[in-house]
Amino acid sequence: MKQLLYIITFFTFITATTGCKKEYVNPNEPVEDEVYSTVQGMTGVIVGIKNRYAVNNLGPATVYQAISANGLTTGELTVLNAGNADLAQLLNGGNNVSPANGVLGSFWITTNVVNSEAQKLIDNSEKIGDVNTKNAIKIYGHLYKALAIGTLAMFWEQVPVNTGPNAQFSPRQQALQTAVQLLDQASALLQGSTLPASFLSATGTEIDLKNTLLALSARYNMMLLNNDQAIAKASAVDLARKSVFFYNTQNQNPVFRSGLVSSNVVGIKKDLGLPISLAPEAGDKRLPFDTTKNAQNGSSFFQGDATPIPIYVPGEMLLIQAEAYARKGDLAKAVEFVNKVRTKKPADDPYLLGADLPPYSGPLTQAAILQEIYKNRQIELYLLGMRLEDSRRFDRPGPGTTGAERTRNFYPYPQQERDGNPNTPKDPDI
Amino acid sequence: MLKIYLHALRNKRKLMTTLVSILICSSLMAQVQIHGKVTDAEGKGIPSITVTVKNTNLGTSTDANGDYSLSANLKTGNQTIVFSGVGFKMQEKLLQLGNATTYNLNAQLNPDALGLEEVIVTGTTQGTTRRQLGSYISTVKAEDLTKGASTNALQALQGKTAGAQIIQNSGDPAGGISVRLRGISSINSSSEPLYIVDGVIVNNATTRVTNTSSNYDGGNFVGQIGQNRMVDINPNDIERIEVLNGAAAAAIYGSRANAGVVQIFTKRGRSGAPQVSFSTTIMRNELRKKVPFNHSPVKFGGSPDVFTQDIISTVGTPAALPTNTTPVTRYDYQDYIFDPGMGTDNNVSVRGGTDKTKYFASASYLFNEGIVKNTDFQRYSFRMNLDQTLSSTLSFTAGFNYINSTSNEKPDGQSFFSPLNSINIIGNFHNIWERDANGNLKAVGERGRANPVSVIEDIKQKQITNRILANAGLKFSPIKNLNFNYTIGLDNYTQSGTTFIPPFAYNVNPAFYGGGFPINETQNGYASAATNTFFQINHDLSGNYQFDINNNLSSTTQLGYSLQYERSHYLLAQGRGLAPIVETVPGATTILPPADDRSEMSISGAYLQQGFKFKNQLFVTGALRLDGSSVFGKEERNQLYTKASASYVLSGADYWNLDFMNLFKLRAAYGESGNLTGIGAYSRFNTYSTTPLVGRTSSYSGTTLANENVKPERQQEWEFGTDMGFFGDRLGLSFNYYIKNVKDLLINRFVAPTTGYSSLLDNIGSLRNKGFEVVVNAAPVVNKDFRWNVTSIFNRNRNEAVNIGQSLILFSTNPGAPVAIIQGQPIGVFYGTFFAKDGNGNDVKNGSGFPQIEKGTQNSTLIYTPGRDASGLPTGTTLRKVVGDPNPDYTATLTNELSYKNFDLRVQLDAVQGVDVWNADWRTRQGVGNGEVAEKEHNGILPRGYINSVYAIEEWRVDDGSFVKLREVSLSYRLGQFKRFNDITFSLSGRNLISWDNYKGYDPEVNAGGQSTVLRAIDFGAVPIPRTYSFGIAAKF
Repeated sequence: MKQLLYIITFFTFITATTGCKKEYVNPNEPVEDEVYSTVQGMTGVIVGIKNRYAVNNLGPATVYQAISANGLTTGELTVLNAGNADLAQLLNGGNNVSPANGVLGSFWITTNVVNSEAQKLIDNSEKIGDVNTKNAIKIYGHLYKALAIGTLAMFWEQVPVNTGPNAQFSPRQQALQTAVQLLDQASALLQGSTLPASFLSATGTEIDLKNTLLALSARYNMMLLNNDQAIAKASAVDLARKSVFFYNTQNQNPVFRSGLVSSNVVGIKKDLGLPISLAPEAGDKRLPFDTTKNAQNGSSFFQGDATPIPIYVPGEMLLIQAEAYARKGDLAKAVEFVNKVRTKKPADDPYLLGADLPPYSGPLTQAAILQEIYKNRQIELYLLGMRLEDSRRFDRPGPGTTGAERTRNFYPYPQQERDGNPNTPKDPDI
Repeated sequence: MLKIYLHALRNKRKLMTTLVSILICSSLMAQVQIHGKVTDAEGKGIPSITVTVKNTNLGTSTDANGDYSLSANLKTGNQTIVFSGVGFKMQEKLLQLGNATTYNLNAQLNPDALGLEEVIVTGTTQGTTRRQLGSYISTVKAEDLTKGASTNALQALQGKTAGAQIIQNSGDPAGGISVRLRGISSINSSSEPLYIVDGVIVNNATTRVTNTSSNYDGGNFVGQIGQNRMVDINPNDIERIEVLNGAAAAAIYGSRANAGVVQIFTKRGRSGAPQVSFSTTIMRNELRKKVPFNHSPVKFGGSPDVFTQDIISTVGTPAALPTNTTPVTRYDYQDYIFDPGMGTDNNVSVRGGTDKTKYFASASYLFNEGIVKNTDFQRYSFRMNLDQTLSSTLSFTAGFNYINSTSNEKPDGQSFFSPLNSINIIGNFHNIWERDANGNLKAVGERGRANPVSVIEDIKQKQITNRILANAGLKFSPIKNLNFNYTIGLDNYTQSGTTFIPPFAYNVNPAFYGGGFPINETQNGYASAATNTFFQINHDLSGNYQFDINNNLSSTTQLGYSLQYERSHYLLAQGRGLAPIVETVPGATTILPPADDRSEMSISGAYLQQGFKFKNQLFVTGALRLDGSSVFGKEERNQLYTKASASYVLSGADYWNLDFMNLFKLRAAYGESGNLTGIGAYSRFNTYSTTPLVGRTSSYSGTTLANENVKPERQQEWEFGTDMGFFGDRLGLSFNYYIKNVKDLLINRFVAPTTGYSSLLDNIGSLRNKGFEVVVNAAPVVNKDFRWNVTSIFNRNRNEAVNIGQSLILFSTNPGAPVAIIQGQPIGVFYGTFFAKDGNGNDVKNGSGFPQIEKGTQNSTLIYTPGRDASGLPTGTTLRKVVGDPNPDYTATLTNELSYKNFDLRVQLDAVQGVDVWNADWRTRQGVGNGEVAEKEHNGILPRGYINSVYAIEEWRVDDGSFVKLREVSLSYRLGQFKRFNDITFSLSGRNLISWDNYKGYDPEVNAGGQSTVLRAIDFGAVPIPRTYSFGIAAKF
């Protein structure tokens, strides 16, 4: 009988101690569906996109790679360690730039992931019942999707508007048009909504949505040479407001931390990498802003780990208006806006960026005024990732010509894209 | 109604009667005592021979003199007594039980050079002898493990089992050891075998609770550095180890057995008077070899304080290497960081019991100092094993092992603030001991390097582990030939580590946790605390039934079920910018991201194994295992593995008449297994991680798309082999040939970024290991006083990445090793730039006499066309090729054992040949100017600029890692009975005494990538393996 007791005890024990569960909930990380099912999940994604776009926390950020690539291709920056082959390729340009270039590769990856995540925000915003919250999510989705498309369109001839398997590429004009539409739709939504305070406290208000949507729309309209639209949007921007990416000692300003501080990666150029014909005038107070190095090699918007980087600066809005008027033939208006930039005192600029120069005194021809606008853009927007686009739009000497001011027109498509997507377009010749 | 009830009752009673008679078997039992002596061919008593009564749970084992005594309640009539033990042929003796109460039964056992009659438990149906096996399983016994001055069970296994490459990756006293059975079986995960100790699945993870910071690795892939948890197992508790090399043998272990299975059995009690064993050993560890250093009286350029890296740094405009010199005093920093370490290993155990209750209890204390100053390892281990017979059909076993280990460490090699790298990265002309007026150390040059004195004296790293291994089992044999076994095993440990890098008083690069210059207090210094808690429980239930179909044919059936559950939790707090004196994280000004990772998973499987035996000549086995795990995708929840094997003992056939060849066996096996470890508990989900961004919550998706239908990597192995015995087993030969194909290999494949992801983790690849193993045993001389045994093992494995879904996967690593996985090449090759050669194979040199890097056109990963300009110098893009392979051509071991009267001598030579090592340290020493090539450049023997010209050529860092080592020497003297002691043995041992190699660093047997699968043979700041001497006394009473 004892035997039986042993066996009963044994089976009771074994039944009590075993179980056969096959599903365990991951307590560390939510799955995608869970993230996009709550408002808190989606505000987290909005900040997460910002993290990926602007901080080198999740791989090289778009902001960092755009500034580096643009800077090297157009001579804003120099390479301090020739052993750094990817950077040297961009500096030397032409056929040296390989489709396998690491800077371009991570630039492409990060920015397309931003596009993909932003689209998920737009798609999932419909799940939210409260209209104001739904619109808030949609607005951020539109903002980052437009930024992703617009930024890529400054460096590649064709870019995917929508991500997904075997994504289709659109010519850059079309892509920029989409970016403009996304931004304008977001502006319209913003006008009709009151964004909940709790939502804004989760996403942060250092990016002024209203003005950023207008400013980016102005920027992309200008690239499309939609002069009237560019003027309309740029003139609506409140120039006293700032829109920046915030950093701190843990989430560091990427250009300072990864680019400048080690004095072993890239270096700024005292002459801003401009030819003598475009050299900043004596007394231009923007030059010390751009080029004065602190003890840790920091300068301009990259003084230290915690220096914020602006999404746009007020001077860009003034120069967009100047350029649009000049292109329309309204030279007087153009000079008026050029002078707003030339005579701006540092103290009058929210970023303390001001030339404090006398008004424009050059010839009143369209060509001369456009060149003045170009020169001012290069000083006002130094190291903000704009020069390659500007250089093409203002027909500056291209690669292979005498006095070339850029070493590429557009970049080759990353090898990883070509290997995985049959729709990848042909690489540009240069 | 009533009728039915009565009928049922009657039936029930009948059933009960039958059951009771089966269970209790009360008839004709007698309490008897059987005793005797078991001797070898020379008449010497053999200890540790298992004596059992066939078809019962009753048994005991012999004591040190070969005597045994067994009291049991046995049926009268014929009983078969079985004598078995490692190294001897099993013997069965018939005993006629009558009215007497005591019986004497002696046995003389014949040596079993090939271990054919050894009982093998792992992966077989209950207690199969090696004779029956269709696949190769090796056994290592206790005596062989404890002779070679090793303190780690895996280290002790080096050179003792065929098909295994066992590498001590670090010379730290608790340094990691990796075991590769028949090559690498995965890319994405561990290739370490499954470890089982007394039925408990024992975790052997390498978890970093020290060396914790994530920017410590700079975002690079550093491998699996640090202690692996098999270090907790006390080798002195081990009775024997069984090693299954591949899927063919390991199939019934299912989804965990891709890298093979190592099963460890600890010592158990035996009936008789209690026997106390005591052993004490004292050890000395020392640096086996110093590397040459620069003796030149001068350096290039100016003062060391402002221009330390004089060999490859340029000055002026245009930048040029300085050629002026400054006189300097040179130091040998090796004398400072290395110091011989002493250690002791003390073990006491008691074993004994009655015929029903047997116990083994042990306590052990190990303390061992490393060869780097201020490093040591201490381990307390207590074990209790109990066997209890509950009735004639039921028996119970329980085991309990508590381990507490503590190690004082220094930062791991893969940083420039580890002891080795702190001296590798500086010119040897700094007086590192010099202090300023405030007693602070001074900066070492202008480059922000950590002063080695800070590393040795100030940086503190400590790791403490508390671990419990427990097992309980029940064996039930209701009727003859049928038994049920149940085992529950539990492994629970907490590993906690602390790291403290005090703020430096001088300029140290923020990348090394300094404050830079000027010193930024918010970055200077580092503290961390981390704990890893692991819990695992496994249940195994099996039923075995054996019956004879007819006189010639018998069948064994095993049906089993296994359930495993594991849970882990990793916690890390860390910060930098420390307040003075404070060693803990709250003292940090800048809190770094913490970690809190929790995971849970389960796996369950059922298997059926069926074996047939024909005339003890032909053996056929087939098995199926069905596994399910929570980590597999929903559609892949159940995985089926099959196995089949056959062996034919030709020499057992009637027609066999070759007298000189007493054994000839052929065997073939096929098996499948899976790899679960490549899949994280939740890795089939696309999840969002969270990290704060300037005070706000940020969630982001990974850039790797998870495959929701992920399945385990699956291995299919064929093994063919033979065992041969000649001249009455005086000479034995085993040969195995195998092909292991791993398919559904998990590879992180790049995808077009416009998908929204950068890569996809999917079952897309395949790899192959092919090779053979030869084991030769010989006993050239056997007589009463003198015995000579020779064992040699030869292993050759060829590894190939068959399909990786792309042509090249290149890893970015801290030591700059260009570790690659290339389609068609062995895994982990070094793929990099190389020297340009002319038509005669000589270096192409420029006008200054400097070798050149090869350039030209890279047509594909492996094909290139060198380009030459008008002056014959390389032109085009820089080319890359496979410049080195960390997978050896072959490994071999030769062991000679001689015994003369009471003296025993054992000498083991291990060889690893045809292996390349990425010697990052040697090149660094030349670049910073403290090495032997730098000395030649300083002294003008090499032209100025030579090192700079070759510094970027990656091939320059590839070194010859082939070696032959005098691994173990042990000389012991058995005093035998002395006064009240039964047995006293004195032994003198040495480990890693001599290495014959052409390696330019300390020791080619090294891996800075730790237990990593793909980072192999990398020398980057790892502590070299020490030479160890030990003297021990063992006594029994």
